[in-house]
Amino acid sequence: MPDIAQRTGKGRADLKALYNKYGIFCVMLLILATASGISPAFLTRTNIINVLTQISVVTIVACGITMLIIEGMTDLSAGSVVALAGCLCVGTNKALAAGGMGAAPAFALALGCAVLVGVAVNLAGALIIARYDAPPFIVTLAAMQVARGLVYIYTNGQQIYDIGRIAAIGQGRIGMVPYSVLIMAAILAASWVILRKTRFGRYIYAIGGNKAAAVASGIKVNPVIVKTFAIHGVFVGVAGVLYMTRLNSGQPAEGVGLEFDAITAAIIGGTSMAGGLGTIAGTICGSVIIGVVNNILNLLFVQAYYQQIIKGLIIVLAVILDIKTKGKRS
Amino acid sequence: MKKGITVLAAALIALSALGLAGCHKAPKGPPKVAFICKSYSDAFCVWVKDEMEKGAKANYSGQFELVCFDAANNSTTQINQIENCVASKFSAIVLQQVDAQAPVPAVKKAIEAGIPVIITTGHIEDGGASTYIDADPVQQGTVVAEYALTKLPKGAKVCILQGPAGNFHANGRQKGFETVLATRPDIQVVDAQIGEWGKEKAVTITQNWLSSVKGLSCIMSHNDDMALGAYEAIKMAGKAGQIQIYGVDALAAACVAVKEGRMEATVFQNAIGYAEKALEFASKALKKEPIQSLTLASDLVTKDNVDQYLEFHKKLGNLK
Repeated sequence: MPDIAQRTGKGRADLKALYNKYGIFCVMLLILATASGISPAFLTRTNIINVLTQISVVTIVACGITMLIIEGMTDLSAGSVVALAGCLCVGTNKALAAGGMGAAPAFALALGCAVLVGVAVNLAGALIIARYDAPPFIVTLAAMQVARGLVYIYTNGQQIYDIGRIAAIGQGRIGMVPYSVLIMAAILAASWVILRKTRFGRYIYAIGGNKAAAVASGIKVNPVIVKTFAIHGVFVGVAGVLYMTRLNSGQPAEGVGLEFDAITAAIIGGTSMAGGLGTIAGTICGSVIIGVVNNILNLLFVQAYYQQIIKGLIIVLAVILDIKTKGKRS
Repeated sequence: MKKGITVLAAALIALSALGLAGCHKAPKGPPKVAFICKSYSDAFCVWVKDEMEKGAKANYSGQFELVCFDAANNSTTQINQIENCVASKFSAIVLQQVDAQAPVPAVKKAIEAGIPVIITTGHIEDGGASTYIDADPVQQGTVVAEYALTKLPKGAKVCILQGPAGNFHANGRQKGFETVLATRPDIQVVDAQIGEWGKEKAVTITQNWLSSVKGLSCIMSHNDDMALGAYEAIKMAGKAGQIQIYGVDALAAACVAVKEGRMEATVFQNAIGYAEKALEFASKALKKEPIQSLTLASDLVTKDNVDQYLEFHKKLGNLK
């Protein structure tokens, strides 16, 4: 008898755990099902690839932001740095190509510049945060301003056109799959490995969960924080390249508010603003939910004013559902 | 010792008095004219700014010095800049309004202080206190839509990329589009979405239209940046050349697109006219000559006449 009771109890706990773990996943499936139910255009191959391309930049930024939020940090500069890195990339490539350099080395150098500037801006912020124990909210807010200023100086406030074949990075595809989707997949995989399979990843959770305890258990907190920002910087640099090459031009004024889209994706995906909690899988769900909602509202020709209200409500609902399901754990 | 301190103090007081007296003198050098640009991140506004700077140096360097500010698309910043210009005794203020109503009190105060205010690339609702150089956005929308009517097939399906909600130019261009397109009942305006003047949003919206609108024949855009974004989306979908694209502004990149057949037409906003007239008005106002508000006409740019605009852009250094 006690044996059976134990079993049923365990079974129920499993179900609960399953529900807790996959709550946001269920929300995503629900939204996907609804979307395919109400619009015949939604489940077409082209449209699915469109949605994946459309969310690639935000998702890449959201990967780094998820790590930072888990760690108790945040980054508000991502949108500006995306513009800076992207414009620097297409600008460098254009200048090198004009100077007679071959396509491949010019691509490589341009990409390198973008990643370098992404890392540099984030490192600068991280060092200040670490050295002075400064609030990341304010430091990255300052970085947002500086990066936007830099991109206006670099481009002289003008768009960069005729960027040449580098546009293929954002617009090209292998078979049916665009490069941007492949790059997004690679970065998602890398982030998942970092967070789940490395000691460094466990430190990130430990610092966000309880910084004092992390320090007490011998984790060197500041180097971990700086490294996390550096990794995020790489992702932001890559995101910038994708963003501008997709537009086939350098647009210094674009990317405003991108960081908030990324933060929203992470939060919808169950990352806790308080730190210590969150997964890459959740962030993917969050990003897909936002992307699909945007897409379906467009497909249905919903007027832009109503779109904003609907998006806001869906974010609130998703978060309430997530909190409810998590609450059952205790 | 005490004496020494007293002398020192006296000297300090005398010095500061001199300094204060200096403040009351008129500012040194030639009179200063402010140009408050709407936003350094708006390609068209920056073009007007560049023209202003070039024109001021070439034609008015003996009369006044032009100082440029960036309102960063923010009404509060713009109001602060107007107030600062009044406080630092500029002789005239030229501005591109961020909003048609927000700067009105600040502008009126400037005029009360004896500083003439000239609005270029638009106007504000101050009941005629300032002098403006404006274009009519309804005319811009009308002229491009009338051309589209001659090009669109029977039963054409049209989608419209719009500027920001409530924007004066976006609303006017939309009105122009709608009024003209409505004259041909076979044309169907399927959807209109807000792209906020931006290329990225335009790409996304157009991609979604390409999967939801069967047989889409035309995209009409409130500006060129969004029109060029629509082209990128259409190209990526492998449908380049199958969907007509129309824009407004005649940016250098759009003129090239018209030349190469990627866009059907755009409308030339007379950036040079805006700058030249603004400088001329400022010069006249400084000489106390009368000035009167005016509306500049905007011209249609198509494959037939695009060469002259390309030449124009080359001369300006916007194209190589």
